[in-house]
Amino acid sequence: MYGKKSFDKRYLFIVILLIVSLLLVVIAVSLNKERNLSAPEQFVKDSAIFIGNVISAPVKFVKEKLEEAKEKNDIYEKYKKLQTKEKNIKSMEAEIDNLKEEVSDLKKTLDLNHTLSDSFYLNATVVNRNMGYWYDEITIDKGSSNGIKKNMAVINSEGLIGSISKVSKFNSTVKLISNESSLDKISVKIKTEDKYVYGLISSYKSKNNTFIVEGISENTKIEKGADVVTTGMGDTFPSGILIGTVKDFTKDNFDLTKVVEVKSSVNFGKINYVTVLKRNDN
Amino acid sequence: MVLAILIISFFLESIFSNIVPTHTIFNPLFTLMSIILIYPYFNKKNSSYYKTCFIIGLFYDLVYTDTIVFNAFLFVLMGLIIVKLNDLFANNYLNSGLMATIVIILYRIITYLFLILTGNINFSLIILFKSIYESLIANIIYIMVMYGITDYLSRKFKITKTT
Repeated sequence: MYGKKSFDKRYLFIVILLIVSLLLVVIAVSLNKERNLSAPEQFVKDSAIFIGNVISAPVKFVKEKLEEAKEKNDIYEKYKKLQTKEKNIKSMEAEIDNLKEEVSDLKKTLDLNHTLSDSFYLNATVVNRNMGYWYDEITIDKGSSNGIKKNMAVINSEGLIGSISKVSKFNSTVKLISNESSLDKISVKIKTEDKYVYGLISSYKSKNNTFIVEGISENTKIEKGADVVTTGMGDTFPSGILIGTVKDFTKDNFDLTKVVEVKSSVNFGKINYVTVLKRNDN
Repeated sequence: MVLAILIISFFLESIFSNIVPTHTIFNPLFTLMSIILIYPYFNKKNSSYYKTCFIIGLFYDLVYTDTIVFNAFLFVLMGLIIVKLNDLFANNYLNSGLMATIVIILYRIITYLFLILTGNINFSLIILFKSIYESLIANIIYIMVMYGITDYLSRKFKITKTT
């Protein structure tokens, strides 16, 4: 009898150990970036999100009306800001046309089929947000049926948001660049007086909504408020997408490089509408 | 009643996360709270309860987190803990809040440990504490409100539940 009890305990311990090991393998596999969603997963996700959209439609309607009312209160101040910006628009338009012509000529001269900033745009609405807490992901209402593919860049009017990590037929999951667990380094460039300096985003601090950029030479002069944009190097993010502006900079522990704190241009707490970019790789 | 609680909690979690900004102190775990609310309606039929926890956890995985069966097993584990807690505590407002607190803390700790072991997040106790305190307020309020509603409806429509 006593032998049977100790046998049961050992058996239970082994079963628990096996289950824990299996769960570790499952979570490692399922969180793998390269994994594609299987057909049943896509079906369940699409169906649940469709039903969720139907149920949440009245709530979204009320939320939009409240945001509209709030914006109407600020409308005069925005009008004044837009008035000052409007004066610069014509000269900027002329400059853009001139630059487009120069790029086109250069492409012909160098026999290039595309540059790092060629993309097409697809607008989408956020239907789910940050459900896994640590995963910092959002779900949008565009999927493979709309031409969405993995690793496409996602932006909004404020700047870079993230990239597509999983795709189903009618929905996609976007992994945000604010994901504190993300190990992917994003290559960025910072405008200095006469050139760009290059660095890598190493981490994100949600408390201040700032990114930490490393790998910049200690001798480089950087101004606070300078724009930080993507370089376009790598397979995911096209060139020239705004990340934020320089907030502060310090030296690293060895006094060899600068550590730049970049204030994000995007409010990751409030993302409702996004745009998906597809790089025009021929 | 069980199905209504599960469906409402499941979809309300998505709606709530769309309304409230992320990384605030109102992080929803309404689906997890629903498995605390539904236990008394199983009248000690624990195997049915565990199967329900597994199924709702699986749906949670497929729709919200993209982890295949991780939350399915985790919800079953939470179900085990809820069964033990119900043996210790009576079923009332305060105890449902207390059970919610214990379940949230354990859920976050276990998820955190698994993510650390698989290398998906960096080791930081601050992140763990932050995840716990950001998840407590909204979910305790939710479970107390839902407890009141479900208790009232159970009495009105004479639905049996263990106390």
